[in-house]
Amino acid sequence: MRRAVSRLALSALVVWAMIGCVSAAVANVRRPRWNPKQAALWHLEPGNSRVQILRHFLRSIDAVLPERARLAVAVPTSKDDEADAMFRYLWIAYLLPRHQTVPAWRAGATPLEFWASFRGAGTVPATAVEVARWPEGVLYRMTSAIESPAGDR
Amino acid sequence: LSFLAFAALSLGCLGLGWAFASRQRTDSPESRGVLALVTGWVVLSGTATFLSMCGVPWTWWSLAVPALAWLALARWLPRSSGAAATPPAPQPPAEQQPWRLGWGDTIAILALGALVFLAARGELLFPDFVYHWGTKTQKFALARGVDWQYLALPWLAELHHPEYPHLLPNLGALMTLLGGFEARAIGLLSMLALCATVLQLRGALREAGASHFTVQATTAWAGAALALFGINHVLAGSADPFLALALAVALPALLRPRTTLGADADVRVGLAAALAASAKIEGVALAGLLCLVHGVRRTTVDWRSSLRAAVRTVLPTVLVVTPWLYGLWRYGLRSSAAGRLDLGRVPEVLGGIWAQLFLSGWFGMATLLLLLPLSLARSDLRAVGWVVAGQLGFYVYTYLSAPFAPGYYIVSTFPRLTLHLLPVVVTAVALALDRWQQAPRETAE
Repeated sequence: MRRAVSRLALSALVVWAMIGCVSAAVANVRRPRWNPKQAALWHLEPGNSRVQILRHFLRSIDAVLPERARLAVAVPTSKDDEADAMFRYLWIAYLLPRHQTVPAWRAGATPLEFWASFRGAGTVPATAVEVARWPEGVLYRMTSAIESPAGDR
Repeated sequence: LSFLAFAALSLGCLGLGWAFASRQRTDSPESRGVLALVTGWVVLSGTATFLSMCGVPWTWWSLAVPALAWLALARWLPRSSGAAATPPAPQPPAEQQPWRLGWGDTIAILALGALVFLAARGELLFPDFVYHWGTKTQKFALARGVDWQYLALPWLAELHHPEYPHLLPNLGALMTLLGGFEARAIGLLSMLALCATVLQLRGALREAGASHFTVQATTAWAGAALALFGINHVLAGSADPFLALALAVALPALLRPRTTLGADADVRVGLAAALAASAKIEGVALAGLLCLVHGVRRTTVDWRSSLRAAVRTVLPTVLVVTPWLYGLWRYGLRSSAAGRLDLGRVPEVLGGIWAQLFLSGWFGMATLLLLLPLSLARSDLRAVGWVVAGQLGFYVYTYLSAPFAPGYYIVSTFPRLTLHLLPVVVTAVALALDRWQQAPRETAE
């Protein structure tokens, strides 16, 4: 009797886990890789189109910048909360590791060498001089410090 | 090339660890193999952090010299054995030979195979890999060492967990130096840790004398459940599987009667604790709990040998934690999740955890954590119960003391924290069932 109860309980656990595993695999196959309703950049996954465009832009910047340049990258703001700006910054730091990326909201407090503006990002600091331009955005050199925090928050 | 770097690093770590693990007493080849891999990871990552503390960049020579010294030391260290009272391991019946695959092994291999396949395709990249582990990996590879100046940037304190231990970025950076940065390949480190966890649970049950059915059923459950959660929670590139593995590695020692514990158990718990402390900040608490519970068990049997046992147990953790703590102190890095205990949050925190047991990516299986009291009630499983209960208490404390509202914090972290504990809880319950069903037969004999 005890043996039957024990085996039944363990078998139930195995079946439970197997059903869960199969359903997880099926859900993963059906999962949309890009959901346009999730417009915020921090929802994006590595393989989707907007991250690919951002990645392409950052690679273009990377080819122009000197080693370990200090820059801020402004990307279009969305109507999401403040956490969105933070996650956008983390994506950019991940995609541009050879340089010291400064969050755009700290640009006023941290001396910057360059300012990159992804298309549609809005205002550019007054002390910025254009260095290079691509379809995805523009790279500027800072001629002096930004007087007040700009852009991304 | 990045995938070749993953294979080279994993085999290299296995070789580094094997020189030591082959001299440890273990009753199952699974346990020996997993112990070798864990030892290699801990030695390599610890050495890398130590070199950075000394200002030595990571090069072939700077890493090869300590590795060769370690290999020589591992051959020189005495073989560890169990206590004098340890009975020799009984010869398993033919169906329980370790290399013979059963039905449960097949299920686990299929499930974990699907998990690894999806991870290698890049479909399971963990968000935190982008948000901090992957960035640290690239920064460390570029700096050829732990990039403390980067971690100390003022705005990273609130974003990047600069205070976290460095096992995953260290290993990932070394892979990057070997074969270039490829997130999919580095994510396989987490998958390897999940696979090793399942293998270690199988070994622990066989060492504890569980029946063939229980070993196979638990292996099948662990393989399917960890694959389920790995897919649902996209775990490639996460450090959490290393904590699940650390607890699984300690399991054979925690399941043994305290009178049979010897130097081999000290070493096993010590390496498990070192792995936990190297992997994540909550792993430091787990390391402390493992050392404490094991130390108490050792001391209550033979207090005279407890000093040497304590050294064997605590030394690996001290060695890997010291260079990391030095970096934290020197660069003033502190945890962003530390605050004052607020007991007024108890209802909200417990309610949030209760909801996550049912809602998380575990397909409802996180509710099996509620079986924890069963392991506390049985004297042969109590050591496992105390460690899990202690770690669970630490997580609740973290939620009660976080400097921000715990609601979203629980939603975003508790399912992953469950991963650390659930595999050993279910394994302990399976063993309890096995012993319960075998009890009348033994009495009759």
